[in-house]
Amino acid sequence: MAKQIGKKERMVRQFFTEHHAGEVPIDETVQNLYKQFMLNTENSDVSYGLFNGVVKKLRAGFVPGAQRTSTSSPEPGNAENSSVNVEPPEIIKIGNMPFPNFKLFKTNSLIDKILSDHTVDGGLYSGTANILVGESGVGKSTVTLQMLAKIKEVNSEAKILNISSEMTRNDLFFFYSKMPIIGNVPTLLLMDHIQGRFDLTLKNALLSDEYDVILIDSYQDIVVKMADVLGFKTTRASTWLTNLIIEAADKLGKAVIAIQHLTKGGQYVGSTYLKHATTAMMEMRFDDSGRRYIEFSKNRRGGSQINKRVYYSLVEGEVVWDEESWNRDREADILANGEQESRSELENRFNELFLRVNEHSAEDVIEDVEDAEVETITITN
Amino acid sequence: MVNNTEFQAIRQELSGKDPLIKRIKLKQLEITDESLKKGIVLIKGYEVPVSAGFFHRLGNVVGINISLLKKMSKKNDDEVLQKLLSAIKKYSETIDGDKEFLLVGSSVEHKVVNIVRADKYSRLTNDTLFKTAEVLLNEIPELSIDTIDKSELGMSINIVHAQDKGFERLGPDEIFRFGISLVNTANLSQVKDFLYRMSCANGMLSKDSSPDRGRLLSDSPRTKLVGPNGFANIIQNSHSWSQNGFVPPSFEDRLHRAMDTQASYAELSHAYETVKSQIQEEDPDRRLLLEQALRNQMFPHLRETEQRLINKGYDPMKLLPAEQQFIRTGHTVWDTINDLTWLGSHKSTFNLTDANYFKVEGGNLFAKKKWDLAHAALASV
Repeated sequence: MAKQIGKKERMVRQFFTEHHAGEVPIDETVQNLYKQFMLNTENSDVSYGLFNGVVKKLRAGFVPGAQRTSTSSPEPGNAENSSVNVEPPEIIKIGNMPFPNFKLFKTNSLIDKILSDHTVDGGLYSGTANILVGESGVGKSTVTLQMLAKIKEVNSEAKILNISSEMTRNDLFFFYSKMPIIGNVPTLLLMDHIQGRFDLTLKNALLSDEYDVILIDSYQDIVVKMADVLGFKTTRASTWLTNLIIEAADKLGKAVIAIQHLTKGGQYVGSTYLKHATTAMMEMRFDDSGRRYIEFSKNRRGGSQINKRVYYSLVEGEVVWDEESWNRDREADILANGEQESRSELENRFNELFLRVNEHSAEDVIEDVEDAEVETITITN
Repeated sequence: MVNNTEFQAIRQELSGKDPLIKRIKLKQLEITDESLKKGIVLIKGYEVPVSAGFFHRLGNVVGINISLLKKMSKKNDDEVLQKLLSAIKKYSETIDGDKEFLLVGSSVEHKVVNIVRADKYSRLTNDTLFKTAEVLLNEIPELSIDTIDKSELGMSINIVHAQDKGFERLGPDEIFRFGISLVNTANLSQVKDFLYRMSCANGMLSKDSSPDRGRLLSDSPRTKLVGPNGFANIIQNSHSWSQNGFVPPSFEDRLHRAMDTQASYAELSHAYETVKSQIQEEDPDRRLLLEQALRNQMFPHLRETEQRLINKGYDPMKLLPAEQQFIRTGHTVWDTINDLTWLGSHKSTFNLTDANYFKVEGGNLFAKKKWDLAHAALASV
């Protein structure tokens, strides 16, 4: 049975039918639309909250940046009754694929070592989508802003961009006063565009040729704002943003670092799609003794550096990487490798003592015995 | 203290003296009709000698009940053999069947003495313990090796920090030094807290080594350090621990509680009996005199408590251990510890077998999981 629509909602729907052909215009903010509604509707006592709710209902199924054609999602793989143009699969030999000219951005600090492992000193590769998750207060913005500033300092030709959705310029002032090095970081404050279609502003910035190392602070906040301010469904906003990041990294060869939040329980809060689609997943946490560290739980450019912790501290707002701690961990790695060798040695001794030979030899002995039996039969015959 | 030459000599002696290990799956282990009787199992067709306790442990691993395990001492019991065979077969067919186990062999006994789940075996080689100690000594010059204990099943390296520590409510000559023990047991490598009381009057030694005695520092992160990760962790954290001389966080609190908690009749009796058992005197009459002298001079509160019990109509000899734990002595736990450590640090008129042991016994009482009358003050609330 169809749900009954209230009188006020009917009024809002009627307004859109009469003035906007039954659609919510994509280039208008909800606040502007509400103003129009109030001017055009006599004796209306519809609240902004109710109006916004109806707008959300009307926009349901709307894909940001695209013309809405239907309120229902197409079934995956089903092109029946639609005019979708399905391209034939393009199969290319890996060796014949067009690859971008990969750049390596260094900060000349300890963090480079875990960013990648294809060169001795590491660094941040272009064409990568990196998600950074971290506990509240661990220093996500501080560390990444300093990374951007250092990249610019070391590679003067690097085109860096900081996209901040959470901070206002007043917030940034206090960061800057403690960390003057970030003064050279070009920054897009999405809060400045919150009254308009900030999703399109974000898209333009991310896909622009003018930037090749981009920090997004933060992914979750942008998704929440798209849902609250623009009325998009959270899952669709999230998928749209993930696709945008992947397009920027994979197709346009940018290095993107997107900050993501953790739940209060310390769990990753984003979608599995985001987690799987990205090149690397960095985690910033406090250890048992309260020290801050950063490590990768996934890194397609630095598999050998996964789970290696780089400790740091925030001294008067600046990030100080703990080289000594890193060296101590490497000493522990040497011990662990030595232990592994010792265990192999103990297993060899076990085989020698109890199985008389090592494993390979044991199999050889069995084969030798079988061969010997065959030979014996031959001689007898 | 152990100097470098002694350290290297002991290292030479103990390095490589580790249990031999072999990684297997249960389905690789064969048991024949003769296995229990002859004390052998088959691995890859080889007869491997096993100890008497091996089948008991194997039974444990595959979940045979305790009463059947007890029957295993009767080697010819066909029922047990059949149960064991069927239990191994069933286990191998379950989801856990692919899990790996470690056979632990003794090169001295020339037998396999144990079987454990591979993921539960967290023993490092003795050599890794020595190397870890070496790294710690190099990292922190204030650390030195106090002692190295050797036992049939393992060893421990007791490392102590040079910083002298005094505490409120103790005399100025009451100095403590703290550190850690790197402990190797049959199946486990572990880091434990170590304390040493340096005093001209009384020495006390405590190594938090017995699980039933609990942890000297139940809240210390150090007590959780087990296996390879644990050892990597101590190298990482040693610098921060060194800043306060390795003092366990809850030590001072425990010290003050020892000063405020009365020793129970059971605890005081145990202390007296421990000392009494060490008196070396063959003449029974003279021995009796010495025991009385010990009681009067060193344990007057024990005598007074027993007199009080008799006056109230109780026979101290007939009290159950649990009843003894409820009886106050008017003597604090800290005083009792001091009685023991005084005997451990001084030449007395009593000819004692190993007086030095009382330093450890005093430390054991200090590290006891819960003193009998720890919460007795609440009874009167």
